[in-house]
Order: sequence, then structure tokens, then C-alpha cells
Amino acid sequence: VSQSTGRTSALELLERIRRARRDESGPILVAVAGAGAAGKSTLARAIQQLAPNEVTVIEFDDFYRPSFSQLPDGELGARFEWRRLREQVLEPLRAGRAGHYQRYDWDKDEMGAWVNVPAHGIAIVEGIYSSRTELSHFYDFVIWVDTPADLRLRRGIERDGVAARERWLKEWIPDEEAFIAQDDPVGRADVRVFGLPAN
Amino acid sequence: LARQLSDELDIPAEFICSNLYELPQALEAEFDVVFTSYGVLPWLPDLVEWGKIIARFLAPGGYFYIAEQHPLSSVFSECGTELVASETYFDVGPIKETSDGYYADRSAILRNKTSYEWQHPLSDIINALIRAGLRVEFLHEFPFSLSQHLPSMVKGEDGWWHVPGREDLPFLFSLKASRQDHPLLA
Repeated sequence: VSQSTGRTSALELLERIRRARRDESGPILVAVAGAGAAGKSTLARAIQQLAPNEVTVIEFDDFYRPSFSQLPDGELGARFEWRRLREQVLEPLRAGRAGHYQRYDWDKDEMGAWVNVPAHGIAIVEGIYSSRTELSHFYDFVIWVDTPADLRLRRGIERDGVAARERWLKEWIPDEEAFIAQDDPVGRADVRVFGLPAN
Repeated sequence: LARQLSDELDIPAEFICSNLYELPQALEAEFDVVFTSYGVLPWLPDLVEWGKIIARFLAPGGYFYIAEQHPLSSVFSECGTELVASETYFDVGPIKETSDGYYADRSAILRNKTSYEWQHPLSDIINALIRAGLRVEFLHEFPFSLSQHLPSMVKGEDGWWHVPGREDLPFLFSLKASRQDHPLLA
């Protein structure tokens, strides 16, 4: 793990990602991990804006488990279907084939549209559980976004609305804290950066 | 009847009588196979909820299977020797039926002669499964029926009911789908 200064620019990260290519074929696979509302998506989009034709961003939020689907007992981060990410995206991309995944529709609480991921360029998977132990070997480069907890909660409620506050406090934050303590995604990162402000 | 069969064959089974839409409150379990049998869909007002309940009860790596009357077959009725497209193919809400007799016993006298059925086109059936996150593995269509769906149907040596000379229309379909997330295959 290389400890960066934290204030790494998106451009610098893009260049490091390009140098991290492991395979000649298929896309470079990148995880942008960090706790909820740390600024993962903002960072991923900032990198994508620098090379829009090269970078695809996949959001782990699209792999949230619908309420009609049962949670596996006692698994860390069980509210997200990480196996589906593996089967629909990571395995095909690593094999040089296009990914194809179904997005979770948060408003309707059901499964929604299917999305294609090209088998070239850079694919960034953005989400706290993106680099979890079971998936970490797929990636060429892992970024951890650090942001203080109080700032994250404030941003999260600004983004998701006051109605989501209970879910943040009772479901998502406890899940994340247990996961960070037990799975150590921070120690697995190639680089740690500070979360960028949303705008 | 089901319990008697279970005892006779010495295959232990549990039978639960519940409104489908209340099943998540009545049953806590996961199954390798979820099956929707012939003649179920016309009684269901909401297929999206049906799809979610299938996904809810499917075990990791499990399969869903349905064999059912083809929705196109409900469109046709017989006018003399001709088949005519007389009914809607699409869902138009509850369709009121009034009849004496019942498919299990056509001569039965019913106390409640009114029933409601729903016509679900194939697209609604498949989209309900897609919206539940299931992956369709196959869809088959068959030019014969399980029962005498139209007066001119005759039972063939294969045991299925055919309209003589009309092997160009589907009367049954079957579909298999699987769950996408497989926790046991980790």
C-alpha cells in the first residue's frame, strides 16, 4: 500500500490507473471504495470526465438487494448482491468479455434496466463493498476515499433526504462499520485519498 | 386430496393454504424449485407482486418453472368450424365470469356463480419476472392444450388436446427462470 498525500488529483489517479494495467486484453478494473457519502461517486465521475470514452463507472448501489429478496444470514454487507456484481460484471470483464448487469430501481424497490459494460478501457466499480475480500483479486487498482464520519452523515442526508436518516443510522452505518472493522478494505487500498466536496 | 396422496406415496410434505399475496407472512423458507401450475395466472390480479414472491422464496441457485395456458389461446373462440379472435389479448382489468359448473366438475352447482379472471399477455408475465431480478432460461410454446379448451379439441394419442388441423396456434407455454444472486456458490 502506497500512502498518498491524500490530495491526489483525479488526473493523477487516472494516470496511475492507466499504468496499473495487468492484462493486455479486457479493461483495467478499478475499485473506488470508502464509507457512505465519502465522495466515491464524485471522484469516480471526476476521473470519468477526464476520459469519457475510456472510462465506465459501475455503481454498487445498482446491486442493492430488493426488499422482497431475503438476506443471507450474518454476512457482511449483505444488503448488496456482491455475487451478482461478480457474475454479471467482474468475471466477464476479467475474461475479456462485455459485462451485462441489471440495475436495482430504488424508487420502485424492484429490478430495473439492463446495462452493458464494454470490454475495453477502464471500468470503475464504485461502492464501499466494491473491494471486499471476495472481489479484491479482480482489480488492478483500488482507491479508498477517506472522509470524516460527521461530514459523511451530513452529506448523506443532504443527498438522500431526511427520510433516509433512520436508514443511515440504523442500517447502513452499522453495516459499514462492521464491514470496515472485519474486512479491512482500507488496508487493501493501493491509494487513499480525501473525499472531494460534492461540487 | 393432496395430503392423502402424500400419505399414500409416503412422501412427506407440508401443505399451506394461503392467499398468494399473504404467503410471505405465512411462510418463512427458501426452496430450490418454485412452480406455478396450470391455471394459476388468470386468478392473479397483480403479476409484479407474483414475481417478487417467487424471488422471495427461491433459494440461492434455485429455479422457477411455470407451465400454463398460453395467453393467446384465450383470444380465440369457435364460431361454427372457424376460430375467431373474439376476446382481448391484453390486460383490461378484472373480467367477470358468471357460470354454473366448474372446470373440476362441469356439472357442479355453484353457490357463488360469479368469478373474476385476469388476462395477462406474455409480455406482462415475462416482465414481472425480469422486474423480480430473475433470468429467463427458456420459453417454450406448444400447439396443444392440457384440457378441452375449445369444443372442437380432441384428445390425441399423446394425451394432449389438439384442434384438428390447427397446429399453427399456441395453447400452452412453459418457462424456466433462475435467481441471479447465488450466496451458496460463494
